[in-house]
Amino acid sequence: MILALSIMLAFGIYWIVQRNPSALGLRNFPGGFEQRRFNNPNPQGLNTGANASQTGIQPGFEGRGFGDGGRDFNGRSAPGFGVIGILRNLGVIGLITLAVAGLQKMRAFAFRKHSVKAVS
Amino acid sequence: MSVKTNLWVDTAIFAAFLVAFEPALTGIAVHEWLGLALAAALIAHIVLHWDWVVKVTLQFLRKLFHSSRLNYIVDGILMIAFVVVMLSGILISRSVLSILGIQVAASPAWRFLHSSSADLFLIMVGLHFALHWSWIVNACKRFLINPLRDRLAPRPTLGTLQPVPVPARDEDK
Repeated sequence: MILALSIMLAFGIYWIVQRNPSALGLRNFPGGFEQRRFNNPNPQGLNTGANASQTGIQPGFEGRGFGDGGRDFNGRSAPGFGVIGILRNLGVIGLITLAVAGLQKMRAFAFRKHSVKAVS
Repeated sequence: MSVKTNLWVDTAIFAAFLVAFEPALTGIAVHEWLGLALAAALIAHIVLHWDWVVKVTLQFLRKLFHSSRLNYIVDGILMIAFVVVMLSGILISRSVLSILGIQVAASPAWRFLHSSSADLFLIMVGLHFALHWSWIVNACKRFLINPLRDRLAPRPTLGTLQPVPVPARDEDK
């Protein structure tokens, strides 16, 4: 239960900040993997950098959010966005943990019930 | 190695992993050096659990089905993903290689491999957590929650202590 609530909290904060960056006093969300990949107005599959001179989007990290878009010279964005990224990763790990641990508990419960029936 | 030591080492590794996984927070240079430090920490984690690795490897070859089989497969994929993340990360490194005086032409393929294997690593960490969930919960209860509860619980003072009835001795009767 605590795990489920923590996941909801982590994803909730992540969702709020993605929708409305000013909620954390942040502006110009630079975007991570997902945002660059799915919010691309002209998706053409993997960015090879062939038209980099026209689009300004570099291949590799630069095209996927690891570059200088909205970041300082060290590749670092506003601290709030980094924390939000950590929350997203925690949410992903928590969600997988909850799903698999839940399945294991259900399986254990089913087998226990089955064995009790067999005995009686 | 005691459960308490394992718990603290694993907690530190997890915290370092979360920070190293977010280069937007730390910057590329810290991301690279922290990643290297994480490699050393994970090797320590494996060394701490070496007995388990040897035992399950031997069982894996002997028996077809046993309880640790899924654990072993997940940990194996986790290890492979981590090695790929580290190697590709070193090959696209901006800070580490330049300090070592090595120059490698950064290929987009290595970058793609680095981010893809990092995504796989994140998923496998979730599975690793799930398969060790009962251990995590028990260790946290034993070494974090219960000591905290004992500390926060009000201790009985002299005023609240109830007198214990003393049975009368035979010569008093």
